[in-house]
Formats: sequence, structure tokens, C-alpha cells
Amino acid sequence: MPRTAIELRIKRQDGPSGPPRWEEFSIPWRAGMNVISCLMEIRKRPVTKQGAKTSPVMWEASCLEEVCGACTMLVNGTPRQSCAALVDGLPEGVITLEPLTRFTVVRDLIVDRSPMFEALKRVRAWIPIDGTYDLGPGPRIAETERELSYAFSRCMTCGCCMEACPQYNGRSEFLGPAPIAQVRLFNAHPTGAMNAHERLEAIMGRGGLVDCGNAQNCVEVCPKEIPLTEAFGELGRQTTVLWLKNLLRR
Amino acid sequence: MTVSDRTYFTLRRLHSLSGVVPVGVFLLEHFFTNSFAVQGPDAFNRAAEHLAEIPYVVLIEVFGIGLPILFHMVLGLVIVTTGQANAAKYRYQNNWMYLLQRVSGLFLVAYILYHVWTTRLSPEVMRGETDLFGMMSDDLRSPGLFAFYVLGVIAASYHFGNGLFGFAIHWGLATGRRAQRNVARLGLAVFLVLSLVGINSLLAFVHRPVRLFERAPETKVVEHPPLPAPAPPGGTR
Repeated sequence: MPRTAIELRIKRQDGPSGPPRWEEFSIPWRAGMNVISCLMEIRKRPVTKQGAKTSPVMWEASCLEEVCGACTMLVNGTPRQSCAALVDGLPEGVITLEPLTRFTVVRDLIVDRSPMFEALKRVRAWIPIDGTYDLGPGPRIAETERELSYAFSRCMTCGCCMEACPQYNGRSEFLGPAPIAQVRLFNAHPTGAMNAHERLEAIMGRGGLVDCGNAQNCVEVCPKEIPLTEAFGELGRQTTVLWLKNLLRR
Repeated sequence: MTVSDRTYFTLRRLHSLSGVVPVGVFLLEHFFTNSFAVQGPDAFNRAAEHLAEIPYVVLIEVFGIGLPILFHMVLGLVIVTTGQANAAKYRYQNNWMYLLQRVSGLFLVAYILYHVWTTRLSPEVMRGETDLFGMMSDDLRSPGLFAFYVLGVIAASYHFGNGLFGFAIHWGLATGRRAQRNVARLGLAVFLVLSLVGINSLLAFVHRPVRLFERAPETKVVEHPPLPAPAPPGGTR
């Protein structure tokens, strides 16, 4: 039976410290709606299902085509991009929206994902090429390597893997799957490889690669199908070699 | 207690290594020796005596088995506290394996402490001259202890088998997705085989072993006739 109305249950919170509460909404169904257009509908007329006036639900979105990661939230309990969550593709019944649980809530469905950015800085997820003169073109990359690197370059730091990881939580210092996998990307680049040891050292400390517990949820929930667990195996090998070198050379 | 980043990495790698060598290797030896129980009390007690005759046996027991297990346990307990299992929400196979690795590890801490105390460190055993088979046999006649031992065997087999999967990824031996899947399967096979072998020796202690792949009991040991006297020198050749 096609829907005539869309029922939503949304976990709301006024600020980082505010207590969370649930509100229910009912909005008219239109063809081709996604979760974001539902939220836009609520913004037009912020009245709960019970008829009480409320504030518009806050959310974050940018690209609306599943490449920026900004609109990531729990849709029916699953971490995913709400722009790519088409209403007609969701099971019948109430649609539940919650903010990601592994990040601090800014307001309603908006979370602070800056810990991922900080982690990217910590693992030096870039290639240093700035200088005072033109270094010329970089070396060519084999097609097979380029293909694999492209897979890792699709990471949009959306946070799905962090949300699903049992090792990424308040009790652990683990940097999380997404930032660590970027080490694999930049170490494979011929110019980036010149600083490979710096990135490896950054993931060999507390909170680094060894804190991965191989639950492998990350690769299951990644919307970009990034081979995260292959990166951890490869980085396991790279850190093993560096560890042995450090043991034997100093 | 805080340690430097470099020490932390080394400790974690040694934790992973110690689970395979020497603790994993000891587990294999232990299950093998226990299986002598299938051949009867005398065979088992003889095997235990042979082990006691290994040169430097106490050093091997302390530094090759006891301390590595203790190290693996203590660091394992620290590692457990850093996780927040979520297999009920993310019901993926590897996520269950992650949870079971921790549950089995926690159970093994209690099991191993009990098992090592009763069969190795208790004053009675330390005085020597204990009939180990008889002691195990008496213990395992209690259904509660038998169940406890079965769980211990299953937990140890699983923790070692699935530990091989983590070991292969941590050390970078299995990097590809297919390679990792195969290692996981290998680990589960190790788990199954060790569980069956271990449970069979427990059954043997209560005189109900499953006898497979063995010489049929009716096989008689052939009495060899005395060797003929050596041919005199210069005989036909």
C-alpha cells in the first residue's frame, strides 16, 4: 500500500548539553521524497503530529548527492546519508531520525564531526609539496594503484564507520577507521610515500592502528564501499616493517 | 599506568604474538598430551611423566607458559575495557566474532586461574606423586565441573582459532579481503577441531571417549620371533 502520509519520529536536543527529547511529525507524502525533503517540509510548518507548535528541526546538508557526508544521521537506527535515504525505499511505518551517537550533538540532528578532522591532522593525511619553487610534475601512477587509491579517496569523513565501530567510543582513544585508512591512501602515492614513516609513526601510538579490534563493522556500513579492512591489513604490514626497522637500527 | 606510544605499540604487538607463540603452541601441545587419556589412565600418566622429565622444565613452565599467559591476560583485560560491543545493533558475522573473542577471553581468565591452581599449583600436586588421571576423573564426575571444563575447552579453542584471524591482520600477513576471509575460515576450522579433540579427552577422563582413527582394540601386538643370528662372515651374499 503506498503511503499517503509520512510519519517521523525525531530525536531532538536544543544544545550540546541539553537533554534529548522525542517529537513526532506527520507530513503529506509526495513522489520521490527523501529524508531531507521531509525535514524541509517540517521546517515549512513546524507543528508536531499532536498539533503542538515547535521549533524547526535543525539538520546539516550540503551536496545532496551523497558525496559530502554532512547530512549523515541514524535513519531507522542505521548510520547513513539522509539525502540518499529515499522515503519510498524505507520500510513502511514510522521513520526514526537520530543524530549520530559517537559525536557531540550541536543541535537536533547536527553533530560535531571535527574529531575526525583533528584525527586527519594527527595522521598527516596530506602530501607536503609546498615550497619556494615549482617542483614540476609528480611521478606517474600505475593504473591498478590509481584504481585502488581512488577507492580510498572517496572517503567523505561522513562518520558512518566511526558510528559502527565498537572500538571508537568515550572509553578509548582510538582514532577511528576513516582517518587511519587515509594513511593507506597517502602512503601509496609516490610523492606521499616520501613521508610514509611520519604517518605510520602517527598511527603506531595509543589510539592508533593497534586499537582496531577487527570487528569489521566499518567496511559493512561504509556508504562508499571503501575497503577499510584491507587498508588496516596493509597498514599492519607497513607498521610491522617500520617497527622491526626501528628495533634493529637504533 | 601510562606508557609511551612506542612502548604501547610494542606491548600490543607482543600481546598479539604471545597468543600464538608461545601460548597457542602450548595449547596445541596441551590438547595433544590430554588426548593420551583416550588411551587410558596409564598412557595419560606416562605422557604427563614424560613432560615432567623435559630438561629445564620449570624454567619452560614459568617463562615459556606461565608468564606469557599472565601477560596476555592482563593486557587482554585492559583491551576489553576499551571496547563497546554492539553486535545486537550491527549484526555482522565479524562483529559477533569480535564480541565472542572478548567473552571467551574473560571466561578463560577465570577458567585458567582455577585450572592451573587445581592441577598444577595446589600443594597436593606440588608435592608430586599425584595420580593426575584419577584426580581429573574424580573432578569431572561432577556434572557442574564437567560443564565448566567443556566451556573452558570451547572458549580456549575459539579464542585461539579466532585469535589467528586478528593476528594475521594485525601483523599484516592477510591484507586482501579474500585473504582475511580465508584466515577467518581457517580460524573457525581450528576452533572446531580443537573443541572436538579437547572434549573427547574430557570424555576420556570419565571413561567415555570416542575412539576414532585408532588401532582396533583387538589388534594384537605381534610377538616378533627372535632375530636370526647374524650370518657368519664369508657367507653367501
